[in-house]
Amino acid sequence: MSADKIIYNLNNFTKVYNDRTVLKIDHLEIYAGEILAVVGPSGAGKSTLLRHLNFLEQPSEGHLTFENNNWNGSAPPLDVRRKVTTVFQRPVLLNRSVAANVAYGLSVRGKRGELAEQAIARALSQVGLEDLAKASARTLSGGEAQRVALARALVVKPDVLLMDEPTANLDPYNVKLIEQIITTVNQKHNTTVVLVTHNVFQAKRLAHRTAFLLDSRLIEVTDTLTFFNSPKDSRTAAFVRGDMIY
Amino acid sequence: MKIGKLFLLMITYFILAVLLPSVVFAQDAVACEKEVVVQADDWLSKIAEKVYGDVFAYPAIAEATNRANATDDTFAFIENVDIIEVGWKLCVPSADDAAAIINRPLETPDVTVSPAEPTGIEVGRLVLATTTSTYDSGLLDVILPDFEARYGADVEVIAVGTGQAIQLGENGDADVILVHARSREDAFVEAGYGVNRQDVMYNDFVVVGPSADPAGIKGMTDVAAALAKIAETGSTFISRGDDSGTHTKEQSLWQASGLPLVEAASIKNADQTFVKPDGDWYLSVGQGMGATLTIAEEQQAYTLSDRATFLARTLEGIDLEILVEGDSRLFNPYGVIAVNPELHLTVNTAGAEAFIEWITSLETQKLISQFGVAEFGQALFTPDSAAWNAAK
Amino acid sequence: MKALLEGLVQAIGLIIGLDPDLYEIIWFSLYVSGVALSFSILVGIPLGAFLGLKQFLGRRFMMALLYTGMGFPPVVIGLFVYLMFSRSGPVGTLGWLFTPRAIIVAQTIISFPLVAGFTMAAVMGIDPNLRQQLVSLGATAWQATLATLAEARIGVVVAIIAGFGSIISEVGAVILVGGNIEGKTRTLTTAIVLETRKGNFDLAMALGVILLFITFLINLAMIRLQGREFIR
Repeated sequence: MSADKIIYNLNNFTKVYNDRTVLKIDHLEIYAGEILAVVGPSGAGKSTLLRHLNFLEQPSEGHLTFENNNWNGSAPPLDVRRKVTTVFQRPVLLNRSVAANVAYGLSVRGKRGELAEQAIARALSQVGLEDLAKASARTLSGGEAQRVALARALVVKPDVLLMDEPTANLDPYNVKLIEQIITTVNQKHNTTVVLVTHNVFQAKRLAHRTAFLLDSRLIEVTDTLTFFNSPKDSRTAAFVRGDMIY
Repeated sequence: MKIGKLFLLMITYFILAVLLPSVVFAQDAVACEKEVVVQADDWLSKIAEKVYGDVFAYPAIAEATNRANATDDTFAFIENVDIIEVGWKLCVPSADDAAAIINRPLETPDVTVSPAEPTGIEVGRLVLATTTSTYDSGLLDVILPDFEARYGADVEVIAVGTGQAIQLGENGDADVILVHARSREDAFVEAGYGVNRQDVMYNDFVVVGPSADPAGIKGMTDVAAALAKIAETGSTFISRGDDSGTHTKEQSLWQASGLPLVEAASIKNADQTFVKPDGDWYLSVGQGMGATLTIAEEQQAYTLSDRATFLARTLEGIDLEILVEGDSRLFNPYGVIAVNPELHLTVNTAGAEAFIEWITSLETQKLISQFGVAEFGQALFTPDSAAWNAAK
Repeated sequence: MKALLEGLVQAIGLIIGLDPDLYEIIWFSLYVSGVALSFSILVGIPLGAFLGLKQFLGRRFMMALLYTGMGFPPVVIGLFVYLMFSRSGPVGTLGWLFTPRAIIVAQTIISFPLVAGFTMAAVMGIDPNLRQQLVSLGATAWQATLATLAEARIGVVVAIIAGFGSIISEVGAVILVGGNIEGKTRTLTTAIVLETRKGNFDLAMALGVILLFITFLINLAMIRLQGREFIR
């Protein structure tokens, strides 16, 4: 993880839906190769932030810079957009086989054939689903489906992996499995990971830095150890303690 | 000098004697309501009966023809009323004019139509299967209320192709049928499907086509030759192709034309083959007269139509005209038949019999003879029931 | 009952006997309906997908129009097309009346709302979250739409089946604009009407059985298009 290279830079970033400000971040930098946890109560704006990082939406005001480019505020070109992908809390899989689902990201990038097949097989074994390659995606359990979602995200070798509460609905075994994969991927490939989670322990386990969003504002962002042991802001402290601030 | 004067007088006399009659007669030339071309087996009294219903009115035809001949020698000159030749063109005056010529009223049955009072018979629901051309002519709309009033009836008219009308009779789905396909009618009765077949009336067919008349048949009096010309010039001809009475007549005319014909059948139905001339210009559309006329108008093509349906169409405007008419092969007789009650118990036999009696009665026949006169200046149908002919 | 059985027997006999008139009529019916359906699919499926996926001003109005089109009487469409291509009509000079082209035009108009409408409904039934996830996986708008259509394939195939059914069995419009001309514009349905008018009820029934049989075979083939996985 290198603190030198900034991959995302948000400045005076505001998002408004129907006269309601859902996100307002004065300044946020995300470093290439780090795992950044984003915590906070529901409705704080965490998913909105992830959608912007994946270029699915544009800010109402301010800048979001990716790799030092902001393309005049509009969405970046396709090849740049394809460097980022998201694993959502509830994965929607296609009504096809597991392998076909994993193949999807590759096929839209025009990657088929022998090499693609191998990449798919590797991704499936990475998530421990190589036996279910031919199974219909509709027949999977929640944990298996989430692992397929992870596999289909990993197979395209993204520079940035965004994860929106990826283990929220899963049993401990799957939670552990997925956390291991996140760590491995980050260490082996220097993949930047932005992880939205409710699970403070997960943040402690995985993240280099943690950010706290409350009521659409970024309250604090600091290295994880400091965040949980001696946060600067009292609200952060209250949140970490489990006190109701919301 | 006396001989000279006498000679001059004689010459003047002869000149006057020769010239005067033609001058006198030319003044009195009579309008030809119809022009009829003599066919094989025609004779004057037969034509007179057909047209006036009066066998002895034939001198009127002879007279009118001869008068017409004076100014237009396409008309024949009849020297001997017992001898007429095939191909001669006769001038047939209107009934009134004919009566004037022979100086007596025509022996048509003198009938006044009484107001339609209920007779006390209650027929109820009566299903009448007839052809689309009969229905399209509008005749039934005019005369049926008379029957319904007199006989307490509710007539349901099902207008379909001749074949289907006969089929409805066979199935007992109709109580009485009114069609114009004599051979099929006879077969119907022979096979036991129908009883009490009666003549009702006849009308005629005409060949209609575009005013541009690419085949050049306008005014021809030999319909078979006209069809041959259509074939020769490859002009588009629309056939009903639906085994109707009109289609049957059309086929007989093609056969008379002497053209080579091919046998065809829609979908190899061995019971019903039909003939047609060979060529792309001949389009068989398998529909009723109305639709066929529409297609003929669209394509500016020739077709064979019954006069009534065509005239009714002219009221709303149709871009076709009558090009060939009057050939006695174009006459089209109608028959009414009751469906055999022994085959189908639910048939309204009393109603069917009442209908037959009514339609052949003198008063209804008179109604029929009046149909169309107000609108078109000509009767569209000629009454032909046994009762009517007997009363003449 | 007799007519039904006789019709069935005759139908089998005609098919086996390889009657050329019959096969020509079958081929022609499938040809015009096939071409019309292709046009409907080409325009209808993208339009249905668009209406189902995209919010825009006037969307509800368009949807109402489409639903109206789905239930519109085909014979009125036939009348409209007839008036268009008639000699006295605006495009009469094309000379398409009473040719296969006019039939194809009428059948396209008849089947199009069904194909578009059912596609739209099928697409609307897909989880809206799917699109976002596909885009995050790198799909372009078009690729995401295609994948959505594939997800909705059961409904999309129903759309095609409905479109096909609406025109292969239609007779009013076909006879108006085609003219039922023997050897040129006669279809199975217009032939059935003709044989019925002629009183050949058993032959008409036979043709009806054949039409039923062909439609059944085609629908069976279409079900295969829905994919093997549709039975959960």
